[in-house]
Amino acid sequence: MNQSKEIIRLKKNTRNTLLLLVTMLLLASWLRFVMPKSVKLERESYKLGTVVRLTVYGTDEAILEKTANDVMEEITRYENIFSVNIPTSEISKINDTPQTNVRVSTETVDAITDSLKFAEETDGMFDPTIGPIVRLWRIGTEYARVPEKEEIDKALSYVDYKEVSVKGNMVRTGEKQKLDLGGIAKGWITDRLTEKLKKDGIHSALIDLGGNIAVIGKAPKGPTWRLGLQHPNKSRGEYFAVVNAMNTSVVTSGPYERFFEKNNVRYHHIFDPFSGYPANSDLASVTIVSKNSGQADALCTALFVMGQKKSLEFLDAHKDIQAVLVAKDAKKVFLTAGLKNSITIKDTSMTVEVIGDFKN
Amino acid sequence: MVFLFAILLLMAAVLYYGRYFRQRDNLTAEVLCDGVLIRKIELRKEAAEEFTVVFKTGKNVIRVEKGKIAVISADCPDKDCVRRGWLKYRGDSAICLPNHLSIRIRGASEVDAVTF
Repeated sequence: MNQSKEIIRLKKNTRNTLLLLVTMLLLASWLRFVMPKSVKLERESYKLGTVVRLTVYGTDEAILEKTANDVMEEITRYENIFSVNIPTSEISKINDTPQTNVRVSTETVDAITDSLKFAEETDGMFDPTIGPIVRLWRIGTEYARVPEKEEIDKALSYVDYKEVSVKGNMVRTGEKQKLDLGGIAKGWITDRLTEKLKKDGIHSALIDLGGNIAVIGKAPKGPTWRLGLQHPNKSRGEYFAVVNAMNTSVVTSGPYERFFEKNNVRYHHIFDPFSGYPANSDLASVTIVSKNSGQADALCTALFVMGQKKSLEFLDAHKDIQAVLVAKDAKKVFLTAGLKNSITIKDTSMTVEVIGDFKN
Repeated sequence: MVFLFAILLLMAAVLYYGRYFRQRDNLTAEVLCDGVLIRKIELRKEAAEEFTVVFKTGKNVIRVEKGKIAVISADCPDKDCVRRGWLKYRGDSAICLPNHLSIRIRGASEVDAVTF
């Protein structure tokens, strides 16, 4: 008698438990149903002479679709006003009429002003008038060649950012200067796109203009976005370090991006504005982490040209700039103190030196 | 109550691992030409095959084997995509800039993007 009562109680208990379980499951599925679901949209296109990728998260697919279309159109619009390869671009117009005030859009004025500022800051190691040199070598095209010394010297005499002046919406170059925003355009455009996406209410996005990356907010799955830094000696897509990034931009420069080989000599695309030849740098790559992607774009090129010693001096004088330098043998990495908690070096054959850390 | 909690935990674990293994089994490669998805390939299911993607600038030959995919030849000057070799892990990608071709293996990897 007692035993059967016990069994009934147990059965009742089990039933209650099951009931509770089912209720909870129902509640969970209902919550999933009524909570706005996170939607991801990815878009890939070929612009600015490279591959551009956009990843945006939101709750409304139609809105994301429109956002992605707008972003792609915006990149094309900027390409049409900045590109030296488009004869009707504003930069081409400036270059076609030397020693003349040319009226251009506020955007072109801003981009030129920024590029002159970074040229000043790096004592011309970054120079937006490097155009004649770039055009001589044509690296990255099928017409790439090694020019004669005389040609290089002649083109070199045209490189001087100080001959470019901006007044209001008027831009004027000297007799021989040719502007080329190639060293800053991707970063500068990235900044405008980031502003636009934020204004449009996007809380989570990744913009990748040919490896020039900026992120908004954090990745929905993780506490941050995780960005790989291209390994200088390995194939594209393989990284030597991972940076945890939120609301910032990460840009890497290295000679492996574009080059051509002749008589077993490798000629790369990052030119030294003082020699006219590909920079003979003792670095394998430079990465800059900065909220200002235009600055990151210009500075990683400049620091690569400067080489290790001058780069370290530059970083010592500009403590607000975060950088990762890889030495030419890819065995040593220098990283600024501000990054040490947000970076993981994956290549275990590399030794790491933290720079500018007062506690050490 | 403890008993109930244990059941819930167990269920969560089963759900989680079930999903994990399903993801591992479905290794999917996407082939995009000029940003448009042209092929979706289940790498663990499909038999070895080769196919050519033709764009106005040139062509790339892609080879699929069990669990991996690679560009094996290209008529572009730099052959970056061929040097990339086999792609076999989630998040792996190869790109041919001149021919507007990209291949990537779907799914979460350790990183969201790589600089270059």
